[in-house]
Amino acid sequence: MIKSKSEEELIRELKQGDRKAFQLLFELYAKRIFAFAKGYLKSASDAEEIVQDVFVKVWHARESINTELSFKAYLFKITYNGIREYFNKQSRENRYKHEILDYAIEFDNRTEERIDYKSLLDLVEEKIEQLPPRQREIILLSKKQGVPTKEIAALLEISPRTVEKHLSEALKQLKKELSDDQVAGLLFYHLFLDPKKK
Amino acid sequence: MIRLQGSCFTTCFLIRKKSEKKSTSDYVVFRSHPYYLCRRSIFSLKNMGDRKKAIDNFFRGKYSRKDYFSIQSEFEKEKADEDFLFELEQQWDTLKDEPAEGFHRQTVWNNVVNHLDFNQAGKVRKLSFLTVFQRVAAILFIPLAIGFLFYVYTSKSVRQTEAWAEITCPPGVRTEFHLPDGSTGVLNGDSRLKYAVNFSSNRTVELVGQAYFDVVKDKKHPFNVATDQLNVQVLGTTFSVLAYPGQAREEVVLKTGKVNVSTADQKPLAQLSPDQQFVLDTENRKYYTTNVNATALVSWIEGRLVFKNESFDAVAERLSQWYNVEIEIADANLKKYKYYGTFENESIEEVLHLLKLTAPIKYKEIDRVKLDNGTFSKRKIIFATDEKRVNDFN
Repeated sequence: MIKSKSEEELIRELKQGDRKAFQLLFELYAKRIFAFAKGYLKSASDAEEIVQDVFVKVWHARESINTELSFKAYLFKITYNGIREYFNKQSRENRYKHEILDYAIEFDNRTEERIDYKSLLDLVEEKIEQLPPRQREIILLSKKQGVPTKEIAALLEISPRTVEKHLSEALKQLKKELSDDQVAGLLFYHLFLDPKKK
Repeated sequence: MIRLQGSCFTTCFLIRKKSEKKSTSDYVVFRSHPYYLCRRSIFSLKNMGDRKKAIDNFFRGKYSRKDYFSIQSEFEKEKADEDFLFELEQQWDTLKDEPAEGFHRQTVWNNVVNHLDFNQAGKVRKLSFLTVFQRVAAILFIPLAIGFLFYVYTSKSVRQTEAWAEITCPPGVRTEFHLPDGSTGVLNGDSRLKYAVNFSSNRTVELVGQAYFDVVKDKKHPFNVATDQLNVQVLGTTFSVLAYPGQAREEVVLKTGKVNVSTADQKPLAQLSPDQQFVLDTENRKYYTTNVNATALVSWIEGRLVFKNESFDAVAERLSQWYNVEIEIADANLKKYKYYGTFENESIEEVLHLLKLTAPIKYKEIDRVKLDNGTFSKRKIIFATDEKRVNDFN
Protein backbone atom coordinates (compact mmCIF):
# COMPACT_ATOMS: atom_id res chain seq x y z
CA MET A 1 0.00 0.00 0.00
CA ILE A 2 1.15 3.49 -0.73
CA LYS A 3 1.23 5.55 2.37
CA SER A 4 -0.08 9.03 1.75
CA LYS A 5 2.63 11.57 2.24
CA SER A 6 2.30 14.39 4.67
CA GLU A 7 1.90 17.86 3.31
CA GLU A 8 5.28 18.87 4.69
CA GLU A 9 6.95 16.06 2.77
CA LEU A 10 5.16 17.12 -0.39
CA ILE A 11 6.31 20.69 0.01
CA ARG A 12 9.87 19.61 0.66
CA GLU A 13 9.74 17.58 -2.56
CA LEU A 14 8.13 20.47 -4.41
CA LYS A 15 11.02 22.71 -3.37
CA GLN A 16 13.36 20.19 -5.05
CA GLY A 17 11.34 20.47 -8.24
CA ASP A 18 9.34 17.26 -7.89
CA ARG A 19 6.43 17.42 -10.29
CA LYS A 20 4.54 14.54 -8.75
CA ALA A 21 4.48 16.37 -5.42
CA PHE A 22 3.35 19.49 -7.26
CA GLN A 23 0.47 17.61 -8.82
CA LEU A 24 -0.57 16.11 -5.49
CA LEU A 25 -0.63 19.58 -3.97
CA PHE A 26 -2.78 20.68 -6.89
CA GLU A 27 -5.19 17.84 -6.15
CA LEU A 28 -5.25 18.88 -2.51
CA TYR A 29 -5.94 22.57 -2.99
CA ALA A 30 -7.31 23.30 -6.46
CA LYS A 31 -10.94 22.79 -5.48
CA ARG A 32 -10.68 25.05 -2.46
CA ILE A 33 -9.06 27.84 -4.47
CA PHE A 34 -11.73 27.47 -7.11
CA ALA A 35 -14.62 27.59 -4.63
CA PHE A 36 -13.13 30.58 -2.82
CA ALA A 37 -12.45 32.52 -6.02
CA LYS A 38 -15.86 31.71 -7.47
CA GLY A 39 -17.55 33.06 -4.35
CA TYR A 40 -16.03 36.46 -5.00
CA LEU A 41 -15.80 36.54 -8.78
CA LYS A 42 -19.14 34.83 -9.50
CA SER A 43 -17.63 33.31 -12.62
CA ALA A 44 -16.43 29.73 -12.98
CA SER A 45 -14.07 30.56 -15.83
CA ASP A 46 -12.47 33.46 -13.93
CA ALA A 47 -12.12 31.19 -10.89
CA GLU A 48 -10.43 28.54 -13.03
CA GLU A 49 -7.98 31.12 -14.26
CA ILE A 50 -7.20 32.02 -10.67
CA VAL A 51 -6.45 28.36 -9.90
CA GLN A 52 -4.17 28.17 -12.91
CA ASP A 53 -2.36 31.43 -12.07
CA VAL A 54 -1.88 30.38 -8.45
CA PHE A 55 -0.23 27.08 -9.33
CA VAL A 56 1.93 28.61 -12.04
CA LYS A 57 3.12 31.14 -9.44
CA VAL A 58 3.70 28.42 -6.84
CA TRP A 59 5.86 26.46 -9.28
CA HIS A 60 7.94 29.48 -10.18
CA ALA A 61 8.42 30.42 -6.55
CA ARG A 62 8.83 26.84 -5.30
CA GLU A 63 12.41 27.26 -4.16
CA SER A 64 11.60 30.17 -1.89
CA ILE A 65 8.63 28.58 -0.13
CA ASN A 66 9.13 28.74 3.60
CA THR A 67 8.39 25.32 5.08
CA GLU A 68 8.17 26.80 8.56
CA LEU A 69 5.01 28.67 7.65
CA SER A 70 1.68 27.19 6.73
CA PHE A 71 1.38 26.31 3.05
CA LYS A 72 -2.35 26.85 3.25
CA ALA A 73 -1.83 30.42 4.45
CA TYR A 74 0.74 30.94 1.71
CA LEU A 75 -1.77 29.79 -0.92
CA PHE A 76 -4.40 32.04 0.62
CA LYS A 77 -2.23 35.10 0.06
CA ILE A 78 -1.55 34.30 -3.58
CA THR A 79 -5.21 33.47 -4.16
CA TYR A 80 -6.35 36.66 -2.43
CA ASN A 81 -4.11 38.79 -4.65
CA GLY A 82 -5.41 37.07 -7.76
CA ILE A 83 -9.02 37.52 -6.71
CA ARG A 84 -8.42 41.15 -5.84
CA GLU A 85 -7.02 41.87 -9.30
CA TYR A 86 -9.89 40.12 -11.10
CA PHE A 87 -12.50 41.62 -8.80
CA ASN A 88 -11.29 45.15 -9.47
CA LYS A 89 -11.25 44.49 -13.19
CA GLN A 90 -14.81 43.17 -13.03
CA SER A 91 -15.98 46.09 -10.96
CA ARG A 92 -14.52 48.53 -13.48
CA GLU A 93 -16.41 46.70 -16.21
CA ASN A 94 -19.65 46.79 -14.24
CA ARG A 95 -19.36 50.37 -13.11
CA TYR A 96 -21.86 51.55 -15.73
CA LYS A 97 -24.57 49.34 -14.20
CA HIS A 98 -24.05 50.91 -10.78
CA GLU A 99 -24.15 54.34 -12.39
CA ILE A 100 -27.37 53.63 -14.24
CA LEU A 101 -28.96 52.22 -11.08
CA ASP A 102 -27.82 55.22 -9.14
CA TYR A 103 -29.49 57.45 -11.71
CA ALA A 104 -32.69 55.43 -11.96
CA ILE A 105 -33.36 54.60 -8.32
CA GLU A 106 -33.54 56.81 -5.25
CA PHE A 107 -31.66 54.61 -2.84
CA ASP A 108 -32.42 55.17 0.79
CA ASN A 109 -31.12 53.37 3.86
CA ARG A 110 -33.78 50.76 3.53
CA THR A 111 -33.21 49.92 -0.13
CA GLU A 112 -29.45 50.19 0.29
CA GLU A 113 -29.57 47.34 2.73
CA ARG A 114 -32.53 45.29 1.69
CA ILE A 115 -32.57 44.95 -2.06
CA ASP A 116 -31.01 41.91 -3.61
CA TYR A 117 -28.37 43.88 -5.46
CA LYS A 118 -27.19 40.95 -7.57
CA SER A 119 -30.70 40.55 -9.01
CA LEU A 120 -30.91 44.30 -9.47
CA LEU A 121 -27.69 44.34 -11.50
CA ASP A 122 -29.01 41.49 -13.61
CA LEU A 123 -32.27 43.39 -14.03
CA VAL A 124 -30.48 46.48 -15.36
CA GLU A 125 -28.64 44.33 -17.83
CA GLU A 126 -31.89 42.70 -18.90
CA LYS A 127 -33.64 46.06 -19.26
CA ILE A 128 -30.77 47.44 -21.33
CA GLU A 129 -31.05 44.34 -23.53
CA GLN A 130 -34.74 45.15 -24.11
CA LEU A 131 -34.17 48.73 -25.26
CA PRO A 132 -34.63 49.52 -28.97
CA PRO A 133 -31.40 48.50 -30.78
CA ARG A 134 -30.18 52.03 -31.43
CA GLN A 135 -30.73 53.17 -27.84
CA ARG A 136 -29.06 50.04 -26.51
CA GLU A 137 -26.07 50.48 -28.78
CA ILE A 138 -25.66 54.11 -27.77
CA ILE A 139 -26.11 53.65 -24.03
CA LEU A 140 -23.56 50.81 -24.00
CA LEU A 141 -21.03 52.76 -26.05
CA SER A 142 -21.45 55.80 -23.85
CA LYS A 143 -21.82 54.38 -20.36
CA LYS A 144 -20.06 51.03 -20.60
CA GLN A 145 -17.20 51.94 -22.86
CA GLY A 146 -17.00 55.64 -22.12
CA VAL A 147 -16.92 56.67 -25.77
CA PRO A 148 -17.55 60.45 -26.03
CA THR A 149 -20.75 61.61 -27.68
CA LYS A 150 -18.91 63.13 -30.60
CA GLU A 151 -17.15 59.87 -31.38
CA ILE A 152 -20.37 57.88 -31.10
CA ALA A 153 -21.89 60.32 -33.55
CA ALA A 154 -19.01 59.79 -36.00
CA LEU A 155 -19.13 56.04 -35.51
CA LEU A 156 -22.84 55.73 -36.18
CA GLU A 157 -22.91 58.51 -38.75
CA ILE A 158 -25.55 60.52 -36.93
CA SER A 159 -25.41 63.94 -35.32
CA PRO A 160 -24.21 64.42 -31.71
CA ARG A 161 -27.63 65.84 -30.87
CA THR A 162 -29.28 62.64 -32.05
CA VAL A 163 -26.87 60.63 -29.92
CA GLU A 164 -27.81 62.67 -26.88
CA LYS A 165 -31.49 62.33 -27.61
CA HIS A 166 -31.20 58.54 -27.82
CA LEU A 167 -29.15 58.50 -24.65
CA SER A 168 -31.60 60.54 -22.65
CA GLU A 169 -34.52 58.49 -23.94
CA ALA A 170 -32.75 55.26 -23.04
CA LEU A 171 -32.09 56.51 -19.50
CA LYS A 172 -35.64 57.77 -19.11
CA GLN A 173 -36.92 54.38 -20.23
CA LEU A 174 -34.63 52.57 -17.80
CA LYS A 175 -35.75 54.82 -14.98
CA LYS A 176 -39.36 53.95 -15.77
CA GLU A 177 -38.61 50.24 -16.00
CA LEU A 178 -36.76 50.29 -12.69
CA SER A 179 -39.48 52.11 -10.81
CA ASP A 180 -40.08 51.45 -7.14
CA ASP A 181 -42.82 48.87 -7.74
CA GLN A 182 -40.57 46.80 -9.94
CA VAL A 183 -37.71 46.96 -7.52
CA ALA A 184 -39.87 46.21 -4.48
CA GLY A 185 -40.04 42.60 -5.62
CA LEU A 186 -36.33 42.30 -5.01
CA LEU A 187 -36.43 43.10 -1.31
CA PHE A 188 -35.19 40.28 0.84
CA TYR A 189 -36.21 40.77 4.39
CA HIS A 190 -35.60 37.17 5.25
CA LEU A 191 -31.85 37.48 4.99
CA PHE A 192 -31.77 40.00 7.78
CA LEU A 193 -34.11 38.27 10.15
CA ASP A 194 -32.34 36.81 13.09
CA PRO A 195 -33.14 33.09 12.90
CA LYS A 196 -33.02 32.75 16.70
CA LYS A 197 -35.76 35.29 17.24
CA LYS A 198 -38.07 33.65 14.76
CA MET B 1 -3.96 53.79 -25.62
CA ILE B 2 -6.69 52.28 -23.66
CA ARG B 3 -6.58 48.73 -22.56
CA LEU B 4 -9.31 46.49 -23.75
CA GLN B 5 -11.42 45.37 -20.88
CA GLY B 6 -13.59 42.45 -20.71
CA SER B 7 -16.40 40.69 -22.30
CA CYS B 8 -17.34 40.13 -25.88
CA PHE B 9 -19.16 43.38 -26.19
CA THR B 10 -16.12 45.44 -25.34
CA THR B 11 -14.07 43.88 -28.08
CA CYS B 12 -14.83 46.89 -30.15
CA PHE B 13 -14.44 50.56 -29.53
CA LEU B 14 -12.77 53.62 -30.85
CA ILE B 15 -9.20 54.10 -29.86
CA ARG B 16 -8.79 57.44 -28.26
CA LYS B 17 -6.31 59.37 -26.27
CA LYS B 18 -6.08 58.88 -22.55
CA SER B 19 -6.56 62.53 -21.84
CA GLU B 20 -10.05 62.55 -23.25
CA LYS B 21 -12.69 62.62 -20.60
CA LYS B 22 -15.85 60.67 -20.54
CA SER B 23 -18.63 62.65 -22.08
CA THR B 24 -21.41 64.01 -19.99
CA SER B 25 -24.40 64.71 -22.12
CA ASP B 26 -26.46 67.83 -21.64
CA TYR B 27 -29.50 65.76 -20.92
CA VAL B 28 -28.33 63.52 -18.16
CA VAL B 29 -26.00 64.13 -15.32
CA PHE B 30 -25.53 61.26 -12.98
CA ARG B 31 -26.72 62.22 -9.59
CA SER B 32 -23.83 60.86 -7.64
CA HIS B 33 -21.09 58.42 -8.29
CA PRO B 34 -21.37 55.09 -6.49
CA TYR B 35 -17.78 55.43 -5.44
CA TYR B 36 -18.68 58.16 -3.00
CA LEU B 37 -21.30 55.88 -1.64
CA CYS B 38 -18.86 53.10 -1.18
CA ARG B 39 -16.49 55.34 0.75
CA ARG B 40 -19.36 56.33 2.96
CA SER B 41 -20.44 52.78 3.49
CA ILE B 42 -17.12 51.79 5.02
CA PHE B 43 -17.70 54.22 7.83
CA SER B 44 -21.28 53.25 8.18
CA LEU B 45 -20.33 49.68 8.93
CA LYS B 46 -21.05 49.68 12.60
CA ASN B 47 -18.76 46.91 13.62
CA MET B 48 -16.85 43.94 12.40
CA GLY B 49 -19.98 41.83 12.62
CA ASP B 50 -21.52 43.91 9.86
CA ARG B 51 -18.57 43.35 7.64
CA LYS B 52 -18.53 39.67 8.34
CA LYS B 53 -22.19 39.60 7.36
CA ALA B 54 -21.39 41.53 4.18
CA ILE B 55 -18.65 39.03 3.34
CA ASP B 56 -20.91 36.05 3.94
CA ASN B 57 -23.82 37.56 2.04
CA PHE B 58 -21.67 38.46 -0.89
CA PHE B 59 -19.97 35.09 -0.96
CA ARG B 60 -23.32 33.29 -0.97
CA GLY B 61 -24.59 35.51 -3.79
CA LYS B 62 -27.41 37.22 -1.87
CA TYR B 63 -26.12 40.66 -1.07
CA SER B 64 -27.40 44.19 -0.73
CA ARG B 65 -26.00 47.26 -2.39
CA LYS B 66 -24.37 48.20 0.88
CA ASP B 67 -22.75 44.75 1.12
CA TYR B 68 -21.45 45.07 -2.40
CA PHE B 69 -19.83 48.42 -1.93
CA SER B 70 -18.28 47.47 1.37
CA ILE B 71 -16.65 44.44 -0.28
CA GLN B 72 -15.64 46.49 -3.28
CA SER B 73 -14.02 49.17 -1.16
CA GLU B 74 -11.99 46.51 0.65
CA PHE B 75 -10.69 45.01 -2.58
CA GLU B 76 -9.90 48.46 -3.89
CA LYS B 77 -7.51 49.28 -1.09
CA GLU B 78 -3.90 49.34 -2.15
CA LYS B 79 -2.95 47.65 1.11
CA ALA B 80 -5.51 45.21 2.40
CA ASP B 81 -7.15 45.85 5.74
CA GLU B 82 -5.80 43.36 8.32
CA ASP B 83 -9.21 42.54 9.79
CA PHE B 84 -10.71 42.01 6.37
CA LEU B 85 -7.89 39.65 5.43
CA PHE B 86 -8.33 37.84 8.71
CA GLU B 87 -12.02 37.26 8.07
CA LEU B 88 -11.37 36.10 4.52
CA GLU B 89 -8.70 33.71 5.70
CA GLN B 90 -11.08 32.24 8.26
CA GLN B 91 -13.58 31.69 5.51
CA TRP B 92 -10.85 30.14 3.36
CA ASP B 93 -9.98 27.74 6.17
CA THR B 94 -13.54 26.46 6.39
CA LEU B 95 -13.83 25.80 2.66
CA LYS B 96 -12.24 22.38 2.43
CA ASP B 97 -15.26 20.40 1.27
CA GLU B 98 -17.11 23.10 -0.57
CA PRO B 99 -18.67 21.67 -3.74
CA ALA B 100 -16.76 23.03 -6.73
CA GLU B 101 -19.49 23.17 -9.31
CA GLY B 102 -18.28 24.06 -12.78
CA PHE B 103 -14.66 23.28 -12.03
CA HIS B 104 -12.82 21.43 -14.81
CA ARG B 105 -9.99 20.14 -12.68
CA GLN B 106 -8.26 18.16 -15.41
CA THR B 107 -8.43 20.97 -17.96
CA VAL B 108 -7.00 23.45 -15.48
CA TRP B 109 -4.20 21.05 -14.56
CA ASN B 110 -3.44 20.55 -18.27
CA ASN B 111 -3.27 24.31 -18.67
CA VAL B 112 -0.83 24.59 -15.78
CA VAL B 113 1.32 21.84 -17.31
CA ASN B 114 1.22 23.49 -20.74
CA HIS B 115 2.03 26.84 -19.27
CA LEU B 116 5.04 25.54 -17.39
CA ASP B 117 6.21 23.57 -20.42
CA PHE B 118 6.61 20.38 -18.38
CA ASN B 119 6.28 18.10 -21.34
CA GLN B 120 9.20 19.50 -23.26
CA ALA B 121 11.58 21.04 -20.80
CA GLY B 122 12.30 17.81 -18.93
CA LYS B 123 15.79 17.40 -17.55
CA VAL B 124 17.96 14.86 -19.30
CA ARG B 125 18.99 12.25 -16.82
CA LYS B 126 21.27 9.30 -17.31
CA LEU B 127 19.57 6.07 -16.46
CA SER B 128 21.02 2.58 -16.42
CA PHE B 129 19.37 0.00 -18.64
CA LEU B 130 18.01 -1.88 -15.68
CA THR B 131 16.39 1.15 -14.13
CA VAL B 132 14.87 1.99 -17.46
CA PHE B 133 13.63 -1.55 -17.91
CA GLN B 134 12.16 -1.71 -14.43
CA ARG B 135 10.44 1.60 -14.85
CA VAL B 136 9.09 0.74 -18.23
CA ALA B 137 7.77 -2.58 -17.02
CA ALA B 138 6.21 -1.13 -13.93
CA ILE B 139 4.88 1.93 -15.54
CA LEU B 140 3.70 0.66 -18.88
CA PHE B 141 0.57 -1.20 -18.03
CA ILE B 142 -1.16 1.02 -15.50
CA PRO B 143 -0.89 4.27 -17.45
CA LEU B 144 -2.17 2.48 -20.50
CA ALA B 145 -5.23 1.39 -18.63
CA ILE B 146 -5.64 4.73 -16.91
CA GLY B 147 -4.87 6.54 -20.10
CA PHE B 148 -7.63 4.72 -21.88
CA LEU B 149 -10.16 5.48 -19.16
CA PHE B 150 -8.87 9.01 -18.97
CA TYR B 151 -9.36 9.39 -22.70
CA VAL B 152 -12.88 8.10 -22.50
CA TYR B 153 -13.80 10.36 -19.63
CA THR B 154 -12.11 13.50 -20.82
CA SER B 155 -12.73 13.32 -24.53
CA LYS B 156 -14.92 16.35 -23.87
CA SER B 157 -11.99 18.41 -22.63
CA VAL B 158 -9.80 17.10 -25.43
CA ARG B 159 -12.27 18.50 -27.85
CA GLN B 160 -12.25 21.72 -25.91
CA THR B 161 -8.55 22.28 -26.58
CA GLU B 162 -9.35 22.30 -30.27
CA ALA B 163 -11.80 25.11 -29.79
CA TRP B 164 -11.20 28.47 -31.38
CA ALA B 165 -11.61 31.96 -30.08
CA GLU B 166 -12.44 34.80 -32.40
CA ILE B 167 -12.06 38.56 -32.13
CA THR B 168 -14.11 40.60 -34.57
CA CYS B 169 -13.96 44.29 -35.31
CA PRO B 170 -16.74 45.95 -37.33
CA PRO B 171 -16.02 48.46 -40.11
CA GLY B 172 -14.84 51.93 -39.22
CA VAL B 173 -13.44 51.05 -35.78
CA ARG B 174 -10.23 49.68 -34.31
CA THR B 175 -9.92 47.13 -31.52
CA GLU B 176 -7.00 46.46 -29.26
CA PHE B 177 -6.53 42.79 -28.39
CA HIS B 178 -4.52 40.74 -25.91
CA LEU B 179 -3.61 37.17 -26.74
CA PRO B 180 -3.20 34.49 -24.05
CA ASP B 181 0.60 34.39 -24.47
CA GLY B 182 0.95 38.07 -23.61
CA SER B 183 1.22 39.27 -27.21
CA THR B 184 -0.90 42.28 -28.02
CA GLY B 185 -2.05 44.13 -31.08
CA VAL B 186 -4.70 46.13 -32.80
CA LEU B 187 -7.34 44.94 -35.25
CA ASN B 188 -8.35 47.41 -37.92
CA GLY B 189 -11.91 47.91 -39.10
CA ASP B 190 -13.84 45.06 -40.69
CA SER B 191 -11.32 42.44 -39.56
CA ARG B 192 -11.35 39.09 -37.80
CA LEU B 193 -8.75 37.23 -35.80
CA LYS B 194 -9.10 33.57 -34.87
CA TYR B 195 -6.87 31.50 -32.59
CA ALA B 196 -6.91 28.12 -30.90
CA VAL B 197 -7.89 28.05 -27.25
CA ASN B 198 -4.66 26.20 -26.40
CA PHE B 199 -2.85 29.21 -27.80
CA SER B 200 0.24 29.15 -25.56
CA SER B 201 1.45 25.92 -27.14
CA ASN B 202 0.14 26.61 -30.62
CA ARG B 203 0.75 30.24 -31.41
CA THR B 204 -1.14 30.47 -34.69
CA VAL B 205 -3.69 33.13 -35.53
CA GLU B 206 -5.84 33.30 -38.61
CA LEU B 207 -6.41 36.79 -39.92
CA VAL B 208 -8.99 38.22 -42.27
CA GLY B 209 -8.49 41.97 -42.70
CA GLN B 210 -5.74 44.04 -41.12
CA ALA B 211 -3.97 43.70 -37.81
CA TYR B 212 -0.89 44.97 -36.03
CA PHE B 213 0.96 42.57 -33.74
CA ASP B 214 3.39 43.09 -30.90
CA VAL B 215 4.57 39.54 -30.33
CA VAL B 216 6.12 38.27 -27.13
CA LYS B 217 9.32 36.30 -27.69
CA ASP B 218 9.08 32.55 -27.19
CA LYS B 219 11.78 30.61 -29.01
CA LYS B 220 10.07 27.30 -28.50
CA HIS B 221 6.78 28.44 -29.97
CA PRO B 222 7.05 30.48 -33.13
CA PHE B 223 4.16 32.85 -33.75
CA ASN B 224 2.31 32.37 -37.04
CA VAL B 225 -0.15 34.61 -38.80
CA ALA B 226 -2.08 32.76 -41.48
CA THR B 227 -4.00 34.73 -44.08
CA ASP B 228 -5.83 33.47 -47.12
CA GLN B 229 -2.65 33.39 -49.20
CA LEU B 230 0.27 33.94 -46.84
CA ASN B 231 1.88 32.60 -43.73
CA VAL B 232 4.01 34.98 -41.64
CA GLN B 233 6.29 33.40 -39.07
CA VAL B 234 7.97 35.37 -36.30
CA LEU B 235 9.70 34.88 -32.98
CA GLY B 236 9.16 38.23 -31.32
CA THR B 237 8.59 41.42 -33.28
CA THR B 238 6.18 44.20 -34.13
CA PHE B 239 4.60 44.06 -37.54
CA SER B 240 1.39 44.61 -39.42
CA VAL B 241 -0.45 42.31 -41.81
CA LEU B 242 -3.10 43.29 -44.31
CA ALA B 243 -5.30 40.75 -46.05
CA TYR B 244 -8.82 41.92 -46.80
CA PRO B 245 -10.89 39.54 -48.86
CA GLY B 246 -11.80 40.96 -52.24
CA GLN B 247 -8.73 43.15 -52.38
CA ALA B 248 -6.10 42.30 -54.96
CA ARG B 249 -3.23 42.42 -52.48
CA GLU B 250 -1.90 41.18 -49.17
CA GLU B 251 0.78 43.08 -47.29
CA VAL B 252 3.21 42.60 -44.43
CA VAL B 253 4.97 45.61 -42.90
CA LEU B 254 7.76 45.02 -40.40
CA LYS B 255 8.54 47.58 -37.73
CA THR B 256 11.07 45.75 -35.55
CA GLY B 257 12.69 42.29 -35.49
CA LYS B 258 12.53 39.76 -38.28
CA VAL B 259 9.75 37.85 -39.97
CA ASN B 260 9.60 35.09 -42.56
CA VAL B 261 6.91 35.30 -45.18
CA SER B 262 5.81 32.17 -46.98
CA THR B 263 2.85 31.01 -48.98
CA ALA B 264 -0.09 29.42 -47.21
CA ASP B 265 1.43 26.02 -48.05
CA GLN B 266 4.78 27.00 -46.49
CA LYS B 267 6.81 27.83 -49.60
CA PRO B 268 9.28 30.53 -48.42
CA LEU B 269 8.93 33.87 -50.20
CA ALA B 270 10.93 36.48 -48.29
CA GLN B 271 12.58 37.45 -45.05
CA LEU B 272 11.88 41.04 -43.99
CA SER B 273 14.09 43.48 -42.11
CA PRO B 274 12.71 46.47 -40.21
CA ASP B 275 11.12 49.15 -42.41
CA GLN B 276 10.43 46.74 -45.21
CA GLN B 277 7.11 45.91 -46.78
CA PHE B 278 6.19 42.71 -48.52
CA VAL B 279 3.40 42.96 -51.08
CA LEU B 280 1.65 40.05 -52.73
CA ASP B 281 -0.35 40.86 -55.82
CA THR B 282 -2.98 38.15 -55.56
CA GLU B 283 -4.41 38.84 -58.98
CA ASN B 284 -1.20 38.43 -60.96
CA ARG B 285 0.44 36.07 -58.44
CA LYS B 286 3.44 38.42 -58.16
CA TYR B 287 5.24 39.61 -55.07
CA TYR B 288 7.91 42.12 -54.15
CA THR B 289 9.65 43.68 -51.16
CA THR B 290 10.18 47.44 -50.82
CA ASN B 291 11.68 49.80 -48.29
CA VAL B 292 9.04 51.86 -46.50
CA ASN B 293 8.50 54.03 -43.46
CA ALA B 294 6.94 51.40 -41.22
CA THR B 295 5.96 53.87 -38.50
CA ALA B 296 3.83 55.81 -40.97
CA LEU B 297 2.25 52.67 -42.37
CA VAL B 298 1.25 51.33 -38.98
CA SER B 299 0.11 54.70 -37.66
CA TRP B 300 -3.49 53.52 -37.98
CA ILE B 301 -3.07 51.67 -34.70
CA GLU B 302 -2.88 54.97 -32.88
CA GLY B 303 -5.98 56.24 -34.59
CA ARG B 304 -3.97 58.37 -37.02
CA LEU B 305 -4.02 58.32 -40.75
CA VAL B 306 -0.57 59.19 -42.04
CA PHE B 307 0.28 59.65 -45.70
CA LYS B 308 3.87 60.00 -46.79
CA ASN B 309 4.27 60.69 -50.47
CA GLU B 310 1.36 58.46 -51.39
CA SER B 311 -0.52 58.58 -54.64
CA PHE B 312 -4.13 59.66 -54.63
CA ASP B 313 -5.47 56.18 -55.33
CA ALA B 314 -3.56 54.77 -52.36
CA VAL B 315 -4.98 57.59 -50.23
CA ALA B 316 -8.46 56.82 -51.52
CA GLU B 317 -8.13 53.14 -50.72
CA ARG B 318 -7.07 53.83 -47.15
CA LEU B 319 -9.81 56.38 -46.63
CA SER B 320 -12.37 53.89 -47.84
CA GLN B 321 -11.29 51.33 -45.20
CA TRP B 322 -10.88 53.93 -42.51
CA TYR B 323 -14.30 55.48 -42.84
CA ASN B 324 -16.09 52.47 -44.30
CA VAL B 325 -17.11 54.27 -47.48
CA GLU B 326 -16.86 53.40 -51.13
CA ILE B 327 -14.61 55.68 -53.14
CA GLU B 328 -14.59 56.09 -56.88
CA ILE B 329 -11.95 58.07 -58.76
CA ALA B 330 -13.75 59.27 -61.85
CA ASP B 331 -10.71 60.87 -63.42
CA ALA B 332 -7.44 58.93 -63.85
CA ASN B 333 -5.54 62.23 -63.96
CA LEU B 334 -6.09 62.58 -60.22
CA LYS B 335 -3.78 59.69 -59.52
CA LYS B 336 -0.73 61.84 -60.26
CA TYR B 337 -1.21 63.89 -57.08
CA LYS B 338 0.98 62.83 -54.19
CA TYR B 339 -0.11 63.39 -50.64
CA TYR B 340 1.64 64.05 -47.38
CA GLY B 341 -0.47 64.46 -44.30
CA THR B 342 -1.48 63.28 -40.89
CA PHE B 343 -5.08 63.09 -39.78
CA GLU B 344 -6.02 62.44 -36.21
CA ASN B 345 -9.61 61.89 -35.12
CA GLU B 346 -10.89 63.91 -38.03
CA SER B 347 -14.31 63.26 -39.50
CA ILE B 348 -14.47 62.20 -43.12
CA GLU B 349 -16.00 65.57 -44.01
CA GLU B 350 -12.97 67.36 -42.59
CA VAL B 351 -10.56 65.06 -44.42
CA LEU B 352 -12.41 65.46 -47.72
CA HIS B 353 -12.39 69.20 -47.27
CA LEU B 354 -8.63 69.22 -46.71
CA LEU B 355 -8.02 67.01 -49.73
CA LYS B 356 -10.05 69.43 -51.81
CA LEU B 357 -8.11 72.44 -50.56
CA THR B 358 -4.72 70.99 -51.44
CA ALA B 359 -5.42 69.88 -55.01
CA PRO B 360 -7.86 70.76 -57.81
CA ILE B 361 -10.24 68.07 -56.71
CA LYS B 362 -13.97 68.10 -56.25
CA TYR B 363 -16.15 65.36 -54.84
CA LYS B 364 -19.72 64.28 -54.76
CA GLU B 365 -21.41 62.17 -52.11
CA ILE B 366 -23.97 59.54 -53.03
CA ASP B 367 -26.33 58.76 -50.19
CA ARG B 368 -26.85 55.24 -48.98
CA VAL B 369 -29.51 53.40 -50.92
CA LYS B 370 -31.59 50.47 -49.82
CA LEU B 371 -30.50 47.28 -51.54
CA ASP B 372 -32.72 44.41 -52.63
CA ASN B 373 -31.72 42.32 -49.63
CA GLY B 374 -32.95 44.99 -47.23
CA THR B 375 -29.53 46.30 -46.18
CA PHE B 376 -28.11 49.66 -47.12
CA SER B 377 -25.25 50.29 -49.48
CA LYS B 378 -22.12 52.03 -48.23
CA ARG B 379 -21.91 55.75 -48.54
CA LYS B 380 -20.15 56.51 -51.80
CA ILE B 381 -17.82 59.35 -52.67
CA ILE B 382 -16.85 60.18 -56.23
CA PHE B 383 -13.74 62.27 -56.91
CA ALA B 384 -13.21 64.26 -60.07
CA THR B 385 -10.92 67.02 -61.32
CA ASP B 386 -12.12 70.50 -60.51
CA GLU B 387 -11.54 72.11 -63.92
CA LYS B 388 -12.13 75.62 -62.58
CA ARG B 389 -9.21 75.40 -60.21
CA VAL B 390 -6.72 73.38 -62.27
CA ASN B 391 -4.83 76.47 -63.33
CA ASP B 392 -4.38 77.61 -59.73
CA PHE B 393 -2.25 74.55 -59.10
CA ASN B 394 -0.03 74.61 -62.16
